[in-house]
Amino acid sequence: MKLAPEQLVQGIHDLPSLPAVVMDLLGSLDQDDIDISVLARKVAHDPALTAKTLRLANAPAFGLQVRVATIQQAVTFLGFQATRNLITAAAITGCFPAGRCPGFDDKAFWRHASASAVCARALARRMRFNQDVAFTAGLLHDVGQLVLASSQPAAYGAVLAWRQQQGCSLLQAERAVLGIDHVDAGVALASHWQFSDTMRQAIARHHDPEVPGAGLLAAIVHVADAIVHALDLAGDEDELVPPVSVVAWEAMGLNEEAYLHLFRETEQQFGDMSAIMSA
Amino acid sequence: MSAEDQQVTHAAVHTSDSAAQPARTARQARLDHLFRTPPSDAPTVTATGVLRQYIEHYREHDRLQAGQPGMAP
Repeated sequence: MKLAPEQLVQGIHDLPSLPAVVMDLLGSLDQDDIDISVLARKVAHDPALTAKTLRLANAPAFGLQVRVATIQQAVTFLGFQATRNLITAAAITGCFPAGRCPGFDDKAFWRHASASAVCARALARRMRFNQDVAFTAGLLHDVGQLVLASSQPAAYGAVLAWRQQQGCSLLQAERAVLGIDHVDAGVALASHWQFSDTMRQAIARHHDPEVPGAGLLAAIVHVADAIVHALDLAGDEDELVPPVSVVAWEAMGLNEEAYLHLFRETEQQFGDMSAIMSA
Repeated sequence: MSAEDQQVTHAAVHTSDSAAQPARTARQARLDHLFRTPPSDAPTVTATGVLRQYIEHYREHDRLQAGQPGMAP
């Protein structure tokens, strides 16, 4: 049941389009000079996107003391970059219909993605790296799984069954059954949706951050991914902690106490977010 | 402490240990399942081993906090 590259590309082209405003935002993640009022007006034209963004903004993970009711208020209280990332997150969840692939647990996916986002942001704060970019990268690092589960549901169902039979990692099962993996699918989607280079690289390298040029963001996402698997937060019986790269681990430069705080922060903050993401 | 008190304390500790043991074993089994690393990966030598050790300490810390007697309400 090998999947040809053109089948993957076709599957991606068949996905619902992202709203134009989100395409603009994804292409400009590294820029700070976007007109906020124009952004707020554009997003306001999409009530579902606005509603989901505001629910995320009001989630306890963002620690707001006031309740925001408009995109403009979210920008005021959370900052432009954080709001931009929430709009992106809200839009992306809308593109992948749940329940199409047998054996694929959409809720578990979003639990893992939300916890990875929170954990990557917490790591980034300690590394003095851009927290908002780390948050989005954590959220999207496994987006290729959604691509495969949505566009090739029967084939991906076979992947999940294989993983359960063999007790191997998802990556190994994908390669054995499809000949490609969720990293390939994520990179293809990132190109199609014109993600920034930084984001594309983090998705491409989150399983091998030691590749020259992978960058610090890939290392942060790699470590966050392993931590979240180890904390067993997705509620997946077949959960498996991937091998942790020594290079990425040492790049974090944190001691045990810092990690224990990080574990606590991740566990406390991801729950509400994942509920909103998978709603 | 009277002999009776000592007996009660000993009984409480003994009961608490017995109750904690299955939970500890279940926790350990789940960690073994989560960290299915090759046998050559000696714990704490690899980054994966260090992560496992930290997770074990974190869970143990949680257990102690949850089960600590005499805490203020």
